[in-house]
Amino acid sequence: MSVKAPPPLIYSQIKYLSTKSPLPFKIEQLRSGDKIGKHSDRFTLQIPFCLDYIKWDVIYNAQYPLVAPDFIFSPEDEDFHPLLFGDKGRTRFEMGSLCNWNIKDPSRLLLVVNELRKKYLDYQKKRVAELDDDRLKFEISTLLSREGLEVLLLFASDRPQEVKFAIPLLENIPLNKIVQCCPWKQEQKIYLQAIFPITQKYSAPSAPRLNLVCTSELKIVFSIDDVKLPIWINGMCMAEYLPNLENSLEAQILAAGASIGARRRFIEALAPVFGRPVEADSVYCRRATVLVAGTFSFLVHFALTPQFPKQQPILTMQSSCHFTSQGTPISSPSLRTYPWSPRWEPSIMVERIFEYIGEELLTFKKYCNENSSQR
Amino acid sequence: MDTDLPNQPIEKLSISGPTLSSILQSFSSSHGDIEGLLFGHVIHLPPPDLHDDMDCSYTTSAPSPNPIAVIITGHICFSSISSFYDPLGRIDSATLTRILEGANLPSNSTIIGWLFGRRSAPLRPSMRELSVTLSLSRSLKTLETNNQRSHQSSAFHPPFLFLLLSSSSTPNHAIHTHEYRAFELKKKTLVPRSMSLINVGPAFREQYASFAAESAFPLIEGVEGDVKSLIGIKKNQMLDRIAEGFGLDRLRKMAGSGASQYTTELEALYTTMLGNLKSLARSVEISSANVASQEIQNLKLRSKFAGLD
Repeated sequence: MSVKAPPPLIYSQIKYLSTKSPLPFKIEQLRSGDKIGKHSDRFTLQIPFCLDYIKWDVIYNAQYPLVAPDFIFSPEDEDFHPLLFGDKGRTRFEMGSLCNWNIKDPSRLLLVVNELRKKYLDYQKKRVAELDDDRLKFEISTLLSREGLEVLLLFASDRPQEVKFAIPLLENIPLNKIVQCCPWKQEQKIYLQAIFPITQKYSAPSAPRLNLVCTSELKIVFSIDDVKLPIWINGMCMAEYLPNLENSLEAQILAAGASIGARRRFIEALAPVFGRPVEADSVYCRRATVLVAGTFSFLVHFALTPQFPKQQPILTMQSSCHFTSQGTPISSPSLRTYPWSPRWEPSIMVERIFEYIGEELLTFKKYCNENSSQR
Repeated sequence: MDTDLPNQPIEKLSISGPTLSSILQSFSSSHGDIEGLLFGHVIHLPPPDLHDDMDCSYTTSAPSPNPIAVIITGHICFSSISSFYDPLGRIDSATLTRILEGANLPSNSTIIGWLFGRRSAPLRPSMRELSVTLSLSRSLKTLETNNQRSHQSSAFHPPFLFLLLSSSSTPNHAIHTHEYRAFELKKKTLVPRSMSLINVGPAFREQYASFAAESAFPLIEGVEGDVKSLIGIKKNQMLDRIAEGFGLDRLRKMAGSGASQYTTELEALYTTMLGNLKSLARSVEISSANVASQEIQNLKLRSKFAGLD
């Protein structure tokens, strides 16, 4: 059945939810609860939670637009009853957006989902604290005070097997500020994901699986996968582990910030030698392209990694005169073994590259002639 | 009635075939979601079959001394959804009382649960449905105690049920699939229960003997008076009403030995009856058309409100 548009009032709430929230909500399986399928009024909502997504079904009613939406949670959370917690007065206060439901307010669905998500977090924390595992009881009691901590009980074959912690790191460093004129709307975050196996009685607790995760935009300037995590020693706890990790991470983040400045100076130094770059990434300074014109004209692409200047730029030459049989210009393989020192001044770096390109020129031309389609 | 009954779990949950099919019919004929109340009764299951054949080698032992069975015997569907509770699922007792009074329910009918039918949604209770179930079971207890209309002691609380329905059809509407699942309210959670269907047939004879159907038929104004007055009229008058224009003598002739001569008379009787039926059918048709046009009008108003045209 083809997907029909939701009624305007419902649509504006869905749109607000998916565009105005800092959390990336996803709307799936938009469908109709109507017999003839005239208007879509229910969908599956993917909610970012604890570095993963949880799925809830949101049930509106196109025929009775005044009626507040209802939620169906996943089968593992069958004892999550957000409307039954505590006394009646508290529920009314905590679920205020649902209690005073108003379909004409576009922000209302987002408010309700956020209220429910908060209750879901409380529910998960309570579940983990109730587990019969002394280590986890201790970990959660020491970590609870950390702002933004999220936990999730992981099931395998219908039984709780592991507990996942998403621990926000470097909360005191404004990560968005490491890029000048920051284009990021979303607040950048780094989390330590720690998965603790639930320890059976009388058996020794095993080490948690640790992994660093950051928001996707931060990856452009900071290669999180290259960060070496401190070693977890047996008998250690998170409160001991985190300060070390945060210190080393802070130094690396500052270096990543400094690298952007170094890359910018390198790109600026290209102009006197190669002429003004044809294209350059002016925000993150990760890419630049220059044109070398003459009897044999070609482009040189510079790819700069977040580890610049420790890692030298990766060069690719691309001919403007030779094409493959598919009509695409011929490029050289990536060049990354030319004379380089991170301690050189940017102007020296560019000059040395210029000399190297001069040497490579003939080889590349020969390569082009061999590989181009004869016309 | 035992006061320890509430502690006993439901041994068996059944629904009569006509009730289930009428619930499914209500749902499949509605455009969107439906909700309503379930009626029925709680009974002691008949004791296990007693064998007067003394050679019987085995002895039957009942799992619990007083197993109870719940039978759903009727339902009413409301004309709209979210009619008696708020967005948090809290019952509006005043509205509920008004609905129940307006529905002219038979005095012996007991509300044993409620139902909700929704398409394109998983067959699991939602956040609000659980809240409504809990709140409804509580407010019915309060209503019961306030009214003091039941002879049972207030310590007796019948089990409370929730029936969830879903329906889907193939794009060309050739195949319709109906699904239902019954839940029992237990300690603030809804536990799925298997539900058996009571049908006509040798296998169901026992249940049928103990089964009393009660269905809350929506009484239409005017008709109610007719039915009551009908009972008051003498037999002769009743017969006259049905066989209009046919005196007792005339009828007697038809039943006697010479009845064969009166085939024309008999045909005339049937023609009159058919005429009556026809005019009845006609008035049903007219009132149905009125109801339908009112429903379309309501639908239009709702669509207008929702910004759909």
